[in-house]
Amino acid sequence: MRTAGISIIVLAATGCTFDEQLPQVDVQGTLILPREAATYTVVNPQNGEETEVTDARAIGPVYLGVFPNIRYDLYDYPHPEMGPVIIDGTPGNTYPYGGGTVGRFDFACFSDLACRISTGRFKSFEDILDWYNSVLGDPVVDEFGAVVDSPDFFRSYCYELFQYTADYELTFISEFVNADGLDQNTLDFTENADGDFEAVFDLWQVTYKPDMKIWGWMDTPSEKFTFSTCDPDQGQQNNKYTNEYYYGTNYSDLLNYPSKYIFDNDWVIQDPYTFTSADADGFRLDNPEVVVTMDFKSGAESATAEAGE
Amino acid sequence: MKILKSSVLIGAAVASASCDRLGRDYLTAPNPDWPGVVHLGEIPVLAASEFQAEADRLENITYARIGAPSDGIYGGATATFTSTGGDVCVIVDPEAVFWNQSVASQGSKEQYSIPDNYRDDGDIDIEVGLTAYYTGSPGYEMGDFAAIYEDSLGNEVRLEFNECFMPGYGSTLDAHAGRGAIEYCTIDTSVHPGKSYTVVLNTYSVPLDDGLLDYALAIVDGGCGDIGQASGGLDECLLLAESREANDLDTPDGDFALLEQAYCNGDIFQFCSNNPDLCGEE
Repeated sequence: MRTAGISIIVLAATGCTFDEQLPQVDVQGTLILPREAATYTVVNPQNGEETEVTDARAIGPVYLGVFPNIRYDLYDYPHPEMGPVIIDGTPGNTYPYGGGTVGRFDFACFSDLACRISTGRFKSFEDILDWYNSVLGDPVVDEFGAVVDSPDFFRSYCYELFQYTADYELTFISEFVNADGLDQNTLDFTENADGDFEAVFDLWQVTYKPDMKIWGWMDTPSEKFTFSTCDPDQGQQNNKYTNEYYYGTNYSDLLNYPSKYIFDNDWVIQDPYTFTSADADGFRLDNPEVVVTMDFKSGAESATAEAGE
Repeated sequence: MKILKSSVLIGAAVASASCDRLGRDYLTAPNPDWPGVVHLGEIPVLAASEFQAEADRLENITYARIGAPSDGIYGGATATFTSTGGDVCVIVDPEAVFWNQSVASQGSKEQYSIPDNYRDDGDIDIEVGLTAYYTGSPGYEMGDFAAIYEDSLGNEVRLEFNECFMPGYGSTLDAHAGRGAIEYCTIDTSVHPGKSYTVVLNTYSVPLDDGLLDYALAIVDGGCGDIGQASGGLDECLLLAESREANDLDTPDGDFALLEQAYCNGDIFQFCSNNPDLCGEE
């Protein structure tokens, strides 16, 4: 009986070490955005006066993909290699091996904020109202056009809309008390010693090929603090009472056709991270430190291969 | 003990007898007179006016027949048409008529209470694309509209140039109709006016009763939605009389024509009651 018990324990322990040798890998790394990428120029609508604000809340959603190669001669910014052009007017598909984001669009209860809020950027309701009402001078309004200036009203409106009962259910709020009563912070970016902004990213189940590269871009907010990667006519539809609008969501082919969505002032990776391990198992064994810097400002400079080559 | 021994012997006898069932009854054999891979050639795109009335359809659509493919070979038919520069509707109706028998204890439908004869039904799946992308050899070997793109790291990606999309459950666009049911799709040829398109009719199943699959094919100028609306609906009753006489492809099979007519008129129960040999076994 004792022998059988020991055998079962040994077998179970062996099972825990079973290597499935999957050709896909989970990649975790660090993204560095230069300080300038978190700097937003606020224009006073009354007098046209411009003020620069550096704040993690100004960082747009970041899209990261893994591609076979990056080229510097396709566009004015580094861009993944593309497959054949099949439809006139549509670029070739980049056929990414995988990808992920740092922050994603989330609907913050008012149609005025559709396509304007990314997860991991705002601590609280106060934080959102402070950003729009005070910093940008573009107050949040409800469906009747009334300015929302009370965080408590904001919260109660959200709870009513989504039928939620706690802040932790709202993914655009990043500082909250979780279901176990513990304080949580899910903000993506922190300021590093150089004054730049860093975030940890995850790219799940990337099909591994040696020499594949991580590339991506940050969607810089427009003058109205909107984003070119968000489709305001998609996402969940709100038809409650007199409401008639969509919550907005990202386009579904961002990594396949990035050139459709990258415009001047977006920040792009010029020097992609290259995977050097021979295969997926080798990558898991090597467990390299993955760091990418998004330091190329589209429209402000010319793409060169010097950093990447 | 004696009873146990007898039971074991009987069980063994039953088990060995059941192994004798080969299921040949569910397979069709190739027919030397009707090849499994055929090419119908160029088919004219019918104007809406040539298709709208039932009499015009019976006159103008293409009726054809295909045999069962040899073992290990994909069977089917191909045809080509020249694009109009606008929407073109491709419709195929494999024989014969199929319905689900109504067996519900409540709300059953008397019309479908007698089962369908599944042995007279075949199934064809359509693909349509630019002829330049077709990988098969018409009349010799079936192909598809796929190409392989290899990226700089040697990773191969399958590119699909089939343009015939049929929405299914969950809004996916890769659905196909089942046995005996029509399939159709709209091809937007505006980007390639005057170019050759290939219609691929893949054999999914051949009727078990004769090992031959009759079907009707129509290629019509316009979108399928508009064409269906103008012609009374995109259903079994659009392309009529697809089952043909065994020895004469130009003549409709009389029994099937009556069955189809009964189906389209909602008189299936009465018809099957009077002609049980043309419907399924109860």
